[in-house]
Amino acid sequence: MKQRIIALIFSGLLFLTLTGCQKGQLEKANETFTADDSEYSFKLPKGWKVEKEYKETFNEAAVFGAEDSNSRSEMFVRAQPSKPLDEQELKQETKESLLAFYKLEAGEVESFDVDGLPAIHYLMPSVYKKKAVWLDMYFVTTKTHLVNFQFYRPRDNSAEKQKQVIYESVKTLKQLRGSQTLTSSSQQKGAKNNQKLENQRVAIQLTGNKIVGNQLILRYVITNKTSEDLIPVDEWQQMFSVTEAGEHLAITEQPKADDTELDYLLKQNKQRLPANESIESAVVYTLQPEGTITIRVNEGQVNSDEPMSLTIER
Amino acid sequence: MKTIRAFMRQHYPAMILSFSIPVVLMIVAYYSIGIYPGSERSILATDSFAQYANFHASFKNVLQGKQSIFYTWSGSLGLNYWALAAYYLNGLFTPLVGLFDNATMPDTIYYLTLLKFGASGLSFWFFAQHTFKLDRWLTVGLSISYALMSYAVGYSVVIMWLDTFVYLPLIVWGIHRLFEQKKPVLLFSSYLLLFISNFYMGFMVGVFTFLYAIIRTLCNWSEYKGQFLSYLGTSLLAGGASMITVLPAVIDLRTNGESLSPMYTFFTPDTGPWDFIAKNMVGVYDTSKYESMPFIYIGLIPLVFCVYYFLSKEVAWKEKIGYGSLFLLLIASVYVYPLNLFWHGLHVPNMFLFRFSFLVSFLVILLAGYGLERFKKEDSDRLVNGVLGIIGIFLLFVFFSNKKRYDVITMESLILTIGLLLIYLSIWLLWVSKYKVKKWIPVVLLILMIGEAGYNARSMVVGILSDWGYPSRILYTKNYEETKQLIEQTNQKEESFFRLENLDVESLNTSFNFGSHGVSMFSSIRNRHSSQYLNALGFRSLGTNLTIEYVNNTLLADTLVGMKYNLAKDDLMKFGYKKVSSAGEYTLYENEYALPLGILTDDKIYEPTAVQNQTELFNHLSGMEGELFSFGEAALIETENAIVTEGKTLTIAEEEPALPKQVTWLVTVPAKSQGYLSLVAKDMAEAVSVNVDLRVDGVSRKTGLINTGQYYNLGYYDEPTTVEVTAAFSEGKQKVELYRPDAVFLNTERFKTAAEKMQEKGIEIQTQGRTAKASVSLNKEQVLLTTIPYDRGWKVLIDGEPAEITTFKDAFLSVKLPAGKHDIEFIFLPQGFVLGASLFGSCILIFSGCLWWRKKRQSEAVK
Repeated sequence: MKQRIIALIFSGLLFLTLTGCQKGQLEKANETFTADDSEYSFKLPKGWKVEKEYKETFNEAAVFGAEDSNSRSEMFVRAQPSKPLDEQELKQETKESLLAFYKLEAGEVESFDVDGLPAIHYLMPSVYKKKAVWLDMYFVTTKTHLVNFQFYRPRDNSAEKQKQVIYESVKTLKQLRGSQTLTSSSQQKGAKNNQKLENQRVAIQLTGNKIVGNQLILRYVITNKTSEDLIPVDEWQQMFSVTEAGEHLAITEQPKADDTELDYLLKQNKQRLPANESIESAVVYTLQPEGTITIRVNEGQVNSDEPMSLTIER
Repeated sequence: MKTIRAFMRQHYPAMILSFSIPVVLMIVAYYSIGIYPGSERSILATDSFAQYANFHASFKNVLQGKQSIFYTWSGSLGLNYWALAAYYLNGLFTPLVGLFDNATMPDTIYYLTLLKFGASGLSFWFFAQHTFKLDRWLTVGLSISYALMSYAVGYSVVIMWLDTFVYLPLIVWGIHRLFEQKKPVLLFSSYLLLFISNFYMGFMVGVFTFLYAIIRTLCNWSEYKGQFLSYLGTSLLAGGASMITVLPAVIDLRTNGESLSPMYTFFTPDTGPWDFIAKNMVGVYDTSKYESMPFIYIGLIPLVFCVYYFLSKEVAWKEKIGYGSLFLLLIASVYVYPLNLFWHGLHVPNMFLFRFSFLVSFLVILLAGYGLERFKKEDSDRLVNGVLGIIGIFLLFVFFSNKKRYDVITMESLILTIGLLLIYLSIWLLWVSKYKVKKWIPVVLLILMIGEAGYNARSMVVGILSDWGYPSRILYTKNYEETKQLIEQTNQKEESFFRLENLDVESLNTSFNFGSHGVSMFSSIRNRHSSQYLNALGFRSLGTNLTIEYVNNTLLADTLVGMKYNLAKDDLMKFGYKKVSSAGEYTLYENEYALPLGILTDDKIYEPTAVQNQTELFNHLSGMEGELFSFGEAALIETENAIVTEGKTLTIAEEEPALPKQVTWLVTVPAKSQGYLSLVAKDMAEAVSVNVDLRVDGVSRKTGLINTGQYYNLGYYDEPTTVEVTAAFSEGKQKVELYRPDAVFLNTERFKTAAEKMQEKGIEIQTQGRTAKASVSLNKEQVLLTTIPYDRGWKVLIDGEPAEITTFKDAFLSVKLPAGKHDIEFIFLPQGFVLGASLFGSCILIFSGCLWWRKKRQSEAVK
């Protein structure tokens, strides 16, 4: 009799295990995150825990991150300032941005809506932390942002169930407050560099300065952002003014130098720089015996609230 | 002899099956993932590719007389080969490499692996046949289970550990023979062979079998107490005899600064409460990297009857307590960190964790054997309860365990495990029933056990495939002949010692394979003192110096270590190197400015603060002063999939996960300069496993960020040139932080003058085997500084008379020479070898003497 009871208990356990007893559920509490001046809330799937160090752990541009305590699934959220998009625009924009990194033909795409706003789901096989995973990439357009949820989940028996719970989780997204200002998020892409100045035409980065005798040598790297050829020295002069004791200095056209490297850099200065290419170059100014040397960014050249200048020690 | 023949005649089918079935199952398992003789995919996963293939190839070089058995000039400038062999090569199977060509090493390792699996099965069969009274088919079944236990297959990439499983059953059988028949020869020889083959695993087996012998003695005190001393004596003599390899290896490890790991915690990190349950299921491979569970599965029948052993009334309580305690100790050793560390010789393992866990498997099958022979029909209820209990625990585990840790448990393995348990139970109940079919039951059982072991073995190799990857054979064989041809050209051309490195290789140990003399090495046996100084010279060797890498250093270091040749696929872009030959994809470049193995200098190099880095050493040896290097700006111009922040440091974070993040800089290299880009991680621990694929002018080379040097070559230029350099960072964490990268320029005119001055002071040294010879003629007392790594095994003779070796920075050999003409000879013999060899001879003599004395006493007693 005893054995039968034990066997019955085991059978019950076996049944429960084989049929699976996990239910697609979400956490009761809302999680919130902010992007620029907007605040959002949504519900995580049940058993997921918020990762406080989400930028370190998941992605530098993330505004929120979490992980499942019952599986190796992880997720993070990014938000990019954007005007509200319609379904077609959303499809077009997300497809273009994803094609740079992913093979979309290997996955599935599905449009849906979140709180009446267009949303899109890309499901792709991917590799994350050296393991084969499913990547659920959701984009939801809001009043102020394009919110991107990125879920990585193992390709195991519970994958289908988890996919559904994740979908339900994304559907709970709500914008609590938001303004239309397009601010810093876009700056997070690419490079942040204090020494580099950029406008629509060029990016110029000062790479060195040296005073030899009465000559000031300034080295710089210039990148042509236009679709036409440029002359580096012209762009330099357009962007910067160099003064000594308040007096404007002119570029020395034929400096006295016995320096092959400087000759080379000066030669680069006047050569045509093709579109999208960079080159290192140099300019030389003849100095007076004394006076403070200042390199000033000409007004209107870069988008800045305050005048920008650099003082060079003699 | 007649007895042996009769035994063989009676048992040869079982012996053949015990050997061949594990071999066939492994052939099938490997074949299922595309590994077979000549296959595109090779068996050389992880350490097997990086270490064992090359070290086995070097052993063939030893057999062919191309290299000394005591010393190799191949890796890390030179190394104690006797110690390296004790760790990586010694064993009865290794000399078989002599039958194969080094170019086909993937197949050689495949055959050796299969052979070792077969030998393990056979050795267990001998043990079981002489230990248990079981049905012959069941004995074969247990032998297969033993040979293919999860540990053996899961860790099979470390091929030398497989030797352990051949000797372990023989040692335990030897203990039984000693205790029961007073015959110590098997115990002595199997202990000796294991210790000589692999002292590391020998330590674990030694401790385990010592505890086993104690328990066995205590459980049968009146019967065995007299034999325990005999056991101790035999073991000590076997241990003493093994000192011929163990002593030099241990001295090498100790004198080269191998420190013990700290016990920073009581409980082992990254373990879970259900680990022992999870890893007893069929076909469960988690990982053999960090955070793994112990590999303990050995088969469901062994598991069931091990449990039955503890449930059976036939087994005395003191035996249950004794062997149960041993189980508890092994289980505790997984969870209690100091115990865990103890089994590993107080050195924390570098992946392949819980290396002692095969002992759990062995204890399971050992006790299962005893359980099986005691099982009777009347005990069927106990067996049923045992099996149901096991099923219940598996179900509880699946139901209540954390899925995150145990996500490797699939429904397939759960169903298979429970299904097989129920089938085995039914078969056993049928076996003890009165039905006539029972004569076929052992065969059915054997077939099921073969199927189970085969499925599990396949799951293990599939696990290794996804965990580590079995690399393509082409990585080993492609360019093998061309490389060999180019290296042979250099050997024919050069009369004195020289060094050569290949910039485009997949393994750090290829110099062992081709017998060339290089800097790079990846080995647990290493000269830490010389590696630390080489690290100061720019050849990256960090932490415990497990690796040392040649790449991404400057021309100064090439000159100093006598780097005469480089092999490379693309343009080398190094000043002073000229193309001398090419074969296939490779080009051979000769360095005009390499020093010979020795150089004359003064005794100021011994001052503690002298020559701390390559520039100081270069200036000291050349007699020049001033800077050879200047620095410039590397301007970041472009990024791809990277969020970059530039400040005092440069942070490069990925935009889209798991894809390389790419950064491009612009650098203007001055005229007649060799340019470098200096990339240094701010926090080495944060940059573990980050790879850098650096591309300059169409030449691309991939290296590790923290385990290679910091100077990435931008090329040599006669005229000022602006170069674009792109670095793609992959693997590792999503963000990498570097010290702000600098451009570094070597003034090649100054370099050339200094190198030529040093070459004038160079001393050519001829090496042969374990000796190095030179002749000098001096006007005054001078110091001969060599780049031979210092090891206490070196002796020096000046004009045939012993002289004192003075170490340079504890790293290199140097010797003070008086004025006049002298012949100098350096001779290497591993420290401890003479004592070890004496112990080997004397222990074998003492053991033989004891045997003779015992036999004489026995025959006198008979008379």
